[in-house]
Amino acid sequence: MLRVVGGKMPLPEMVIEEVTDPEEIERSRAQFARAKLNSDWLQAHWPDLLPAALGKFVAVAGQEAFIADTAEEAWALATAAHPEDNGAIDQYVRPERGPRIYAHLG
Amino acid sequence: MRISGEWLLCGDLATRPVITARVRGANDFFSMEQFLVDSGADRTVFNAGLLNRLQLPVSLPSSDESLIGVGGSGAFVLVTTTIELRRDGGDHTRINAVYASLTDPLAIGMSVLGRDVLNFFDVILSKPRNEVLLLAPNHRYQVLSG
Repeated sequence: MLRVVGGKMPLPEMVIEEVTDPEEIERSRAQFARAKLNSDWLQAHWPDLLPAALGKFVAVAGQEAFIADTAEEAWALATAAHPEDNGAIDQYVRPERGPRIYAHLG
Repeated sequence: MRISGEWLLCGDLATRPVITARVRGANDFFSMEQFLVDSGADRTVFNAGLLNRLQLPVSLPSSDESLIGVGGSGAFVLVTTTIELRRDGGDHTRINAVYASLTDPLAIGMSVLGRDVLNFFDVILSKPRNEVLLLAPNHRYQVLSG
C-alpha cells in the first residue's frame, strides 16, 4: 500500500496513446524480448546468487548477474559488460526474511 | 486490450505479480522496469534506481503532499514521462503522466504500478492459474461456475 496525502497528486492527468510507428514497435518488441530473457535467467539463478545478493542490488544484462552495494554500481557493471543489451533489469534484494505487507517506506 | 504480466520469483524467494514495461528517459532512451502490481497503492511510484537511470528533470511536490507506506512517509519527487506496456499480439500502449518517484534507493525493492494506472483496466491476479492480466476493451472477463 502506498497512500497519497495532500496537494494535487490524487488526480494526475494521464494521456494514453497507441504506438503506430512500425520501426518503434519493432525496437520495443526487441527490448521487451531481451528483458524477458534476463528476467527468466534471474528467476532460474536465484539459488546461485543467494545469500550473497541479500541486502544488495542485482542487475542482469546478457543473462549475467552483477551484484553491488548500490543500484548505480550494479547497473554500471551490467551495462559495461553488455552494452548491446537494452533489456537489462535490476532489483534490490531485501536482507530481511518473511512476508512483506505492502510497500514499506521510511 | 490484453496485457500479460507474470508471477515473478523475487530475491527474497517470494513470488509477486509483476508487469514489465518500458519507461522513457532522457533523449528518448527507454529503460526496462518490472512493476509490482499493487492495487493498494494510490499512485504508481518509481524506485530510485529507475529514476536515476531515466536522467529526467524532476520537480518537488508541494509541501503538503506526502507519500505514505506502512513504515511511514518517504521523500519523493515528480517526473513527467511515459510508461509503455506491451499488449498481447504485439501492439504497444503508452501512458504519459506525471509520476512519483522515491529518492531513497532502499525504500522499495521494486517500482509499483498503482491505481492511477490500474484503474484503466480490469486487473486479474490469479496465482492458481499463473495469470497476471490487465484487460481493457475489447477484452473483458467473465466469471463462470463449475
